[in-house]
Amino acid sequence: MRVAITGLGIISAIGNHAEEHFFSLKNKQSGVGKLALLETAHDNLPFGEIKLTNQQLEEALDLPKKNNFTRASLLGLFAVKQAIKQANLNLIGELSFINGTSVGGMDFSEKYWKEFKENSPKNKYIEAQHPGFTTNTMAEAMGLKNYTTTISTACSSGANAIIKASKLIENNQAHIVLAGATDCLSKFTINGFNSLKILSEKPCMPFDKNRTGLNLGEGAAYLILESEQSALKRNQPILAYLSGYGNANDAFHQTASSETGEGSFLTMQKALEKSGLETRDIDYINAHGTATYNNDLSEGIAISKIFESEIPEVSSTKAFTGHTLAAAGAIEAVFSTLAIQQQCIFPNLNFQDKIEEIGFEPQTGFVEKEINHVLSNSFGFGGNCSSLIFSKA
Amino acid sequence: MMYINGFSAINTLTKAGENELSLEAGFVAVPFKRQAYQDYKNYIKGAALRRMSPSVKMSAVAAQQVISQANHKNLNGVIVGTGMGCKADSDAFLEKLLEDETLLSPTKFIQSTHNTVAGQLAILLDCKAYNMTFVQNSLSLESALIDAQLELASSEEKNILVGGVDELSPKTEEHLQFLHPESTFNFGEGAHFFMVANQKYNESVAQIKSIELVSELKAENLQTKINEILERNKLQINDIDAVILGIDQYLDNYYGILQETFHNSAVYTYKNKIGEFYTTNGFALWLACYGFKNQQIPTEFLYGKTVGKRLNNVLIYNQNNGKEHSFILVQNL
Repeated sequence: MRVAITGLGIISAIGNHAEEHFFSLKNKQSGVGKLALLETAHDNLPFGEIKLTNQQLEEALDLPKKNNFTRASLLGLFAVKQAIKQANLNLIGELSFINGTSVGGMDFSEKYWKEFKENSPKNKYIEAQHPGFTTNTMAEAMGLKNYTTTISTACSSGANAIIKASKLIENNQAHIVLAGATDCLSKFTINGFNSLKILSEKPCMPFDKNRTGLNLGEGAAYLILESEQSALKRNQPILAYLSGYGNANDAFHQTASSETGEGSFLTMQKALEKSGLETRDIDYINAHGTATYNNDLSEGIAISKIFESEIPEVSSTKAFTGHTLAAAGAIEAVFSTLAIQQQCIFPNLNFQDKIEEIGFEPQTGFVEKEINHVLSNSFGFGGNCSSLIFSKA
Repeated sequence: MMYINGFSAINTLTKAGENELSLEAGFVAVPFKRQAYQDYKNYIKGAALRRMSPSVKMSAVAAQQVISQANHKNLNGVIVGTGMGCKADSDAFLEKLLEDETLLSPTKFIQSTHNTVAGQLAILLDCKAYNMTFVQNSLSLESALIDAQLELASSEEKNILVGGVDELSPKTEEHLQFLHPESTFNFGEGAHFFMVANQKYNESVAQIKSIELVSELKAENLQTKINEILERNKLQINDIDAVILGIDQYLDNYYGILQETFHNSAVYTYKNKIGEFYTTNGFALWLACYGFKNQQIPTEFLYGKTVGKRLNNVLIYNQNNGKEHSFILVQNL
């Protein structure tokens, strides 16, 4: 059974919908820069912040004054609405919903942490930091009644949500699934990544020999996935197919990737196997490419090992959006679908010098060419590695 | 087909390594049975034991128990459900950063992500296979079990480690009291792990016939839902020998409907003994497996009258404040 993509929704530092993202990617307009909204001691660092306040998002979503929305659920619902609209879905309540998030409503939990006490009106945010809270806030606003769950596998959550959706459809447990992920900037994650000393003081340089770490970002992206039969029956245009996926664990270290990139190697291999494609069929790899020393080396080695002498075009789009953590896999799933629809490869910004240990240089330009199959990687803390393959409709 | 080939419980009623109930505690859940961690040293080496967060400790012990019960079969995946993740480390990092954003050590942050347990189990068991974490409040463990079901829908032989875990940090307990000031229950913690496979082995104890989750369900539609589940599994109401209900401090009408429907079955409950936490339903599934193995669920868990029936079909039902309903139908082998 083929799994079709019929709707896309996205918001990040480079745009409020898919068309704006395509424009920014094509014209090399990065969203990474100075913070304007979040207050932190680390405001000297660059971030991919979305310049819409929570209040502006609430107004855009027409939410009642009294609500439980935190920033992640606001961004999430903002993107979801676009996907549902594009897929022309009427019976929204019947959708299955697989959501990914790692930060959840931590931005509110940390903001009100010291105000949690007996009879405090802020107590409703005590549970906000648990990922399920974000999902349920979104699900209730949409009136969802069917299977709803949350995946939290750090920076691979979005990719895993899409995998889970595909499994439900393949096993005939759902016909139409809303899947994706959302994460907002929070002091918790900024300080966490800063304490690990992997935040770059300048715009990140994926796959550059002299890369200095990642930039954190925020965003949300959702896809409508459905069986091919369902899309055909509804006369709904198919944007692309999800033709393969892989999930493996590096089983090496809680936060670092193994130098041999074993987890990334295994997940790409599994995705290729599942899709029935050969390595030479892949036209473009949208890499995880966070621009940390560790990730790019490990991912680069794994790509070189799998693709050997026929490495396709590779680029990381993290320098546009920043690393949006759980949302990254979903945001890059949208980029992969756009690459197929528009028949192009998106540029890898800020690259100068090649990493010696790996067999390729990333594509730095916006290139129009025939794209049939795109591989997208997402790796996270906890050794979680996932790969998705998207194919032309 | 999903068979359970190993089941393990770490909670206030069990001792590490024994997989037996120690009911002498007087059936009062003790939220911090941390002294039990001393027993963990047979499973986890000293330095690692000190470093690990409570959730990882509990899960590491439970996981090793079920793997050995299932005779160390090749592992094809690790799937974990948790409502709150490694909450103690998360609290500690958050409180530190609220004091001062400049002098933070990454240790607590590293352990704080919700997938820490599944990631640590992958390292501990050297398992590079499928690895997933679900965090959906009181449906976290059930989401993991459903995912295991999908992974097992394959023609090749597969064995998957699946479990639910939650820890009670001191801060969580304080916060939960603000949220539930009228609570008469203790909040608790625990890890419940299972080895599941799509093949039946000598050591198989049960078959999970069906897992059904409903986010929103009106009380008046509960009966119809139960009938649907029974019908799909070709069972009558009287075929259900026991129901295990997640009765909590909110004695709402949902559990009452179950009791009425299954008035010829034995009714058991457990949250009054192990405390309340998001993955507490792991204990209900453990109790069913324990009951199958010993042909009896201890009468201490009875809610109401005894019904002396052979234990073949058990229905586990839980809900969270009228939402997040879960139905697990499990059958003796």
